[in-house]
Amino acid sequence: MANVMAIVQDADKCMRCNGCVISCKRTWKMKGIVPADNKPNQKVTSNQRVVIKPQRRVDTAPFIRYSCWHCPDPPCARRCPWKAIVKDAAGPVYIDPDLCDPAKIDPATGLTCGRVCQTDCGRGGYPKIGAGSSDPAYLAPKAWKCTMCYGRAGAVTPALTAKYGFALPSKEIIAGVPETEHQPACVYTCPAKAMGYDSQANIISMLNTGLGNGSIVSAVGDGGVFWFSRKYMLISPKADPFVEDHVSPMVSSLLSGPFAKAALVPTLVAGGLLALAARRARIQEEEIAAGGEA
Amino acid sequence: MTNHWADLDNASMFFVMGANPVENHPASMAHVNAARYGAKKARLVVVDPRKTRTAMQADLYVRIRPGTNIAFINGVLNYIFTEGYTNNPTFAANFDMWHNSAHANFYSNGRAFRDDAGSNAALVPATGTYATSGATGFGPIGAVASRGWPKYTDSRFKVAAGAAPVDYQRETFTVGTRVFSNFPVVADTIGDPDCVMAKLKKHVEWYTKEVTADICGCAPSDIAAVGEEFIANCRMTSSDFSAALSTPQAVDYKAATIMYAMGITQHTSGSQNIRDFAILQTMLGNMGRPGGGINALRGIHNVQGSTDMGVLFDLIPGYSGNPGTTATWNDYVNPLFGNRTHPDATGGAVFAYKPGVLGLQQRGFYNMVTSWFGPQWNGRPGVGHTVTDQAVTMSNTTAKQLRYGTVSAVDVWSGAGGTGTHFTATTDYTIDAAAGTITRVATGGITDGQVVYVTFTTTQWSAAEIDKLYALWPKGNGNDHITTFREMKLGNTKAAVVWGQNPAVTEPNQSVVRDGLEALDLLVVVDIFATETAMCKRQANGVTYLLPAAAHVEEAGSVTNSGRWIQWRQRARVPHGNSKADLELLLRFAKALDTAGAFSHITDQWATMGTASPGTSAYDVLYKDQYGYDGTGNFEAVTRASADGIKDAFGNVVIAAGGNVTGSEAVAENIFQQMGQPLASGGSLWLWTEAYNTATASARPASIEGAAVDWTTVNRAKSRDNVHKGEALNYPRWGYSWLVNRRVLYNNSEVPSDEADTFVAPDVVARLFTVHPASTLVNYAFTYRAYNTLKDVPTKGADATVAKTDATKPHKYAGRFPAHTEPIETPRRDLAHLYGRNTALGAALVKTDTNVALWSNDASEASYNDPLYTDTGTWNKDAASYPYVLTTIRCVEHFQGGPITRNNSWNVEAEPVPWIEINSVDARREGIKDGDWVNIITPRSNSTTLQEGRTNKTGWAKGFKARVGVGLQANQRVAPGVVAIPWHWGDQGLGTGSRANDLCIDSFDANTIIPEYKACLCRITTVLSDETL
Repeated sequence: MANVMAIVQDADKCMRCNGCVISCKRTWKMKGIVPADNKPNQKVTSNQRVVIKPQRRVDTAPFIRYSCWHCPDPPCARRCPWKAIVKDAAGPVYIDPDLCDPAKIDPATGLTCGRVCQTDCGRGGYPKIGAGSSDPAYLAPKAWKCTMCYGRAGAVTPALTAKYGFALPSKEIIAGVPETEHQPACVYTCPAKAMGYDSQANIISMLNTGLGNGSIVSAVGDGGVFWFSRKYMLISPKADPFVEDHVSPMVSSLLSGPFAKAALVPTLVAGGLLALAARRARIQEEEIAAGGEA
Repeated sequence: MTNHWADLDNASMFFVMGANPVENHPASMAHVNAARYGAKKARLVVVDPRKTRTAMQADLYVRIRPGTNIAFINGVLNYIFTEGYTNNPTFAANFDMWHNSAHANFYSNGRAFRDDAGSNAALVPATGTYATSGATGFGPIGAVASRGWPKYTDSRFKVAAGAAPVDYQRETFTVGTRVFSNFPVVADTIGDPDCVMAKLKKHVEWYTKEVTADICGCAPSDIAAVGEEFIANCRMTSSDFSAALSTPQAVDYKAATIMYAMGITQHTSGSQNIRDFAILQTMLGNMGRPGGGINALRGIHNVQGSTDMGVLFDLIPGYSGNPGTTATWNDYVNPLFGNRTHPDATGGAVFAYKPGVLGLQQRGFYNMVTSWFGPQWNGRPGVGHTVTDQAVTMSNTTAKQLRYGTVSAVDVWSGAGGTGTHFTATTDYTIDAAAGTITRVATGGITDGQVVYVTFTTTQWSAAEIDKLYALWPKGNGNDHITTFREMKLGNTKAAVVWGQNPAVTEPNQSVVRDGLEALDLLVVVDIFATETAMCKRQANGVTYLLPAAAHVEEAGSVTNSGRWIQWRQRARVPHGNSKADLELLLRFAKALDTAGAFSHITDQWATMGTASPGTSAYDVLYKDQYGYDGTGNFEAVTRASADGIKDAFGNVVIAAGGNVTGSEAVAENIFQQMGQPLASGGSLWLWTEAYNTATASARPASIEGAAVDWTTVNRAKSRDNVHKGEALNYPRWGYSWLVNRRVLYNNSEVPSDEADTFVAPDVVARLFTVHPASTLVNYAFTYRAYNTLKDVPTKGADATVAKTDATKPHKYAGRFPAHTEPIETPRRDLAHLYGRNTALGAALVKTDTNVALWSNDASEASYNDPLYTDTGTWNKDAASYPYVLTTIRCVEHFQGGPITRNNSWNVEAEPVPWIEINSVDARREGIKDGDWVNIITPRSNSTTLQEGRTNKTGWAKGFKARVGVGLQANQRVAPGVVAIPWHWGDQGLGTGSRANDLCIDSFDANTIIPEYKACLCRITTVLSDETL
């Protein structure tokens, strides 16, 4: 039986060089968005499937990679009427571009898919419908997202392998995990060696032992993507990396009004207390879940 | 780099100053991470004006004001010498033991010196004897032996007395009949008040924690913290102190490495900054150790290679200076790194023409002259020429030199032209063919003192022929890059070829650069994109060409990385379309110039050389015959057999060993072979000697492998033997590391199986106490080289005689040791008046032409105090109206002047427009919100309106998008009073934006002519808020 594979990011080492982003684009033949096209936005889109976002403002560490989490039980796969989204036994969730067709009308019901994969994504919407690459075959809108470069490993979708070339060889082959012979492009590229590609079981074991020496303080992840840090991370990786892009303008427009100025301090105090209470409750839950004293 | 990227794994502390490897050298961080997150738990200390992403990862970050690096390092040195020394007894004891050579490991046991008669001797202080190479004449060597010859540094050398000492104290001693003069006097201990260590301590005494903190804008405790980091991570506190190096991977092996980049060099004090690093690391014994050293993080994969090639205006390949305009052959050759060529027991300058006894750099120059200005006969069997009727006076039975090389087919007559008596070999004379000598046989027909006429064939140039070839070498320096554009503007330079460079973005003070480029009659740009330079505004009658060059992956050749590793880069494919490899373009240029008669001076000179004349076509002799391309035909048709063939990235054979390679693969290897052969075989680049060697038996020693291992390639740049990963050895057979495959420079043969190192200064120790201004080359060492003194001293406050208590004279021994100076434009004018600025050249550090205006707001001071500098005359004279220090930065997404990355949509998407980083305090004062577009104004230019009209595009110069700091001051990118802007943008490509270099000042370091990109004054105005764009 195949190993269930996953990507793990060491957030302490990531330096946001964007090497993984460009490697992903190069591998999957996606062009960048330049000012002449429209305003660049640095989001997970149909032609940008991994992004690195800082956890603090103004581009300072820690940097977190965002892409499809490859959920263990992906809602997108369950809801796709064309069965285009597959949860592979080896971990990756991938979309077969030959089956995906947002414009297709179901002869039985007379309905389209309704782009449910985008809206039902439990992690903030990683499947994105749009042009998939500069390959003419994939200019028509289809759903695209990270496949963990699975098609390129040659194991599953031969159509993708033919289109996008062969997998990169591994820089590190892990004993007992033959899948590591081929690494995802992002992991292969990472110059800081801040990413690893291993079986989910190995990664969870590593996180649970704290790299074998208990040095991990915070870790989070699910399915096919995990993060960890040796420091306490103020903000754990968010499901939607762009929440602050929406929230910040809202907050600043609120702050610029006279009412907001008067209401600012009480609101912050109340909100802070609420956040503190919620945090305490969560930590308690986690302790209970970990078998600690309530 | 003295060490290598791969050697970073061995460090226990990284001192990163003026560099941002996380963004600008990301690949290095894998090595840094290996040491930091491995068993060693190495420390990362960052000192920088900007809290870079590297600083965000650091264990200790210290923010300093731009341009105060020397003050900071001197402050750290002073801390180490005083409090650090007192607080750390183990460190103090070992520090003394190391500098006093009080242990057998710390003095030298095999240095070679030369006596006054010119004979070599290997000095052995440990046993108080010396040995000549012939192993005769042992005897006591006098005073030096009793002290032990220092192995590493001149810290115990005594300095001559007097107000302005110019040299060490020197002494003469005699051993038997041999006289050794000019030996430096060595003190018994570093406690001697005359020794270099005492002078250094005196010099840095001024830089107390408080004084340093005031200059640098940091806290006094920061100096102490950094000092303690160095003390905890140096040779004196390492587990291998006084022991032979075991393994640098040991957890308690301690070594600090310094990583620096443009933040250190791009100041008027750039060279002195690096000298201060050298002093710090040498003092702590961190030089020549795995995991130690001083590592310049090079900005491009082949910057080291380009400097090896001497593409600067004052250098020729191999870091040799240009010959002076009046320098004779011997004048030039003697001070090169190698052997003394005069005075010499065998008769002075003649020695300089003997290739067999010339040392490394000298022999390289000899080979370069003979192969670049004539076919190189020596070492190319089968090629020779006949010398007719060389007159030789035969005396007694003394061997007479015909040539300093092999001779054959010798014919001897008593008269010229084969007249008179025809003498017979063996009976009348004997020939030593290899030595090139003829000797009279006493019993033969030649009388003592008779002049005979000898005709022979040789592969060796005569002294007269060498002089004729050397006469073809261009003498003197050209213009530096700052002067060049001013000469264009003045009309003195009328044509320019810009090859793989984008000065219309990268040069400071673009007003001058643009005016200069505009005024040219002819501008040729060779590039893969239509760069800002190619598309710049030109005068009506000016002609502009853009020649399509191939990208670097489309051409083959060697590249030399930061760590001096020479590696072969195969081409991934032949050049696209009509683009051509640089080699083809260069050779076509040469052919066209030859056809147009540009090389007639060479063929004219050859015509005077008689039978030694290399030929009648300069191109054919110098290029076609040597590199294989005829200059006009199909470049791809050039082939050669490649000894190693070609393998792909995964080791699969593409072309078998011995198979033919074509195009740039062939021509590049022809050239590489000429440069990298062993010197004795004619290799023309001394630095790379043996990088191409058909003798592959140079083995990895049995001491490591159990059995000797041969090289697997002839072209060692192609070697891909990756054993000994992460050890002190640094992959000893991967590629080839100059010099002679040394992986850690200055290692004093302490790194097992790495080659022993004699690559040091004239006194065969690291020389901290340089002499200013004149270089005194003392003739006593066997191998030595001239070292260049630095040209700069502070304009103020220097006095070696005045005590520290004189508050107006902070610099003792300035010029000998680095001293703090202020940038040309500085917000701390009080400090500028005390410490001065850095220049021996005065105001000439800012180049002037007819339009220049230098202005001082303090009439009582010399004109270059407190200058604001401009070429345009549209500036505000109120210095207070330029309240911010402007410093330039780089980002990970863009590369240098941007032609490649700003034409790549992936990079442009990641960073589409240039920005400014500003502190929240300043932003509030200026009314700038995050995301606003701002205009930056310096006395030289602004970044918006003045830029339009200089190109064929409009609307691109929108200024800079503000990134305002958030949160606590300590967490913000820049401190109040400092603004940082990236300089990669220009008016062409997919991503355009205002240029930082419109604003930057073109003052420069007096030694290297590197501009002061990192500090000038500016002010800021808001252009537009983001919403209105």
